[in-house]
Amino acid sequence: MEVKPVIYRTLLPLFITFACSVVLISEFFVDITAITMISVALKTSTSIIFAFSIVLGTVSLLLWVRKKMITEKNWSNRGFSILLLLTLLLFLVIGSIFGIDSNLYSLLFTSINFPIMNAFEGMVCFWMVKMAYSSWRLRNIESGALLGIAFITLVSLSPWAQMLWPGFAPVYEWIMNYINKPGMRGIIMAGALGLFIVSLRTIFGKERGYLGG
Amino acid sequence: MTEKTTIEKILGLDARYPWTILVVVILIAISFSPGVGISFSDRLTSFYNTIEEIPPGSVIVIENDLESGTKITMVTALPVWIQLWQVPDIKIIIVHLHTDGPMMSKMLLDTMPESVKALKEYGEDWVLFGYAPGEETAMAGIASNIRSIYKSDFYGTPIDDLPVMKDIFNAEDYHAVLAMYDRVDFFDAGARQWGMWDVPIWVITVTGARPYFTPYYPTRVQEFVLDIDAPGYEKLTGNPGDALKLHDVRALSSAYVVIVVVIMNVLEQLNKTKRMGVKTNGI
Repeated sequence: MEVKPVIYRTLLPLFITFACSVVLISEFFVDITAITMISVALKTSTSIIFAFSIVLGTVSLLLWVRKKMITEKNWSNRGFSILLLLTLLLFLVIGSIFGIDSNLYSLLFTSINFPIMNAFEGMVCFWMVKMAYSSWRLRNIESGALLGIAFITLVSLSPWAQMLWPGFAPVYEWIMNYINKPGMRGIIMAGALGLFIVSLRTIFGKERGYLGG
Repeated sequence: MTEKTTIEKILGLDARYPWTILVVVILIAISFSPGVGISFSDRLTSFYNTIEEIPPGSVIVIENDLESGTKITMVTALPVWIQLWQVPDIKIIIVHLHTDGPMMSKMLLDTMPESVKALKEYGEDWVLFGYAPGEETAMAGIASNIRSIYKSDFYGTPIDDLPVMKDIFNAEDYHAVLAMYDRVDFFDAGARQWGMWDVPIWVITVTGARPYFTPYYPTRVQEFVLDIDAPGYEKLTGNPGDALKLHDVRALSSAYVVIVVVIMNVLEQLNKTKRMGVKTNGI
């Protein structure tokens, strides 16, 4: 086994992970200016890396469209890929030249992004009806429990429910406070414990999946 | 092959039929706007009073992380922003951890009446920051040192040239965070990062996301559920808007869904009984 690749590929990333983690954790327990400063710098660098991931995503998208142009036989699918590319370039060019605070960019955003995204969100109600129509059926005890709670929640949240029976709101609040809240807290606690263990494993180099290979 | 009964035909009906009825129901709600069942819950009045009672000199951070898909619901949050703008002698800092955020805030500000907007001067009393990449890390950065995340505002003015940002460094300087969330992970992140600094979170959200933040309620979170509270809030603040129309659509479409669920279940049980009867009769 060669020594250099092991140092660059494994030991160095493990050491960086360990050092960064120790600094970030220390910030919670000790009040040392140097540690706070390094911690702030690390958080800022995370934002920069996150921003860079958007650039990386754009490049990946361009490569994907290029591949699609070569391999895709269906002309309509090619058309959609070209449309995607043109939209990306349009926003990129307008945003770069006129600025994202310009009226032109705002116009583009409100004319393209808002209608499309809102149409997608609006479609949820159709799937809700589809679900109500085909899935919400009392078939056995399990489906009955699910249907019962979902039905009470739906009815309780409907504006007309209080006119029918004022007890709907307290029943819904009871479900939220005594079924949902403990359940969600349990999930959060379990998730946090799991995350804590994974973090410890990562800090001490036991978890190496993020190194790749 | 046995012929299908009427019940079986209805149970296996194409989904496009109930969808068409839904469209008709929504059109009726928009056209006639019956305005049924507008409620003033304790939650609503408590939220209203919380904003009314903001002490002078406070700094309020608005964290608008709503996606553009929620635009129709988000505009119903306008009365909250208007009320906030009317509170005298407070500073407002608008930040965004979602890419759509700045455009959403700009749109909301554009729909705000000029007379209300004139109550606060940009740069002196309020400031709009752009998108900060990094989600929870960026949130932690805004809490621990906002200057490490934002070097300038949305329009490119350096942060140190903005009088509103004078003496504002971290969450110790914030009175509360008015968080506009619809994504589950933002709730957890908000509870962690703002909670660590004991900054109260006033969440503006939608019904569907409510179960995710109830674990933090009411110690850390005060809630404003747009689709339930907005119509009442519009009445309370005297700023009529789109919430009433959305309220009617929600009222009628939910009634329709409930009716569909009841009918389909009755038919399902009838069909089951019929099939069992056929079996017992040995046919």
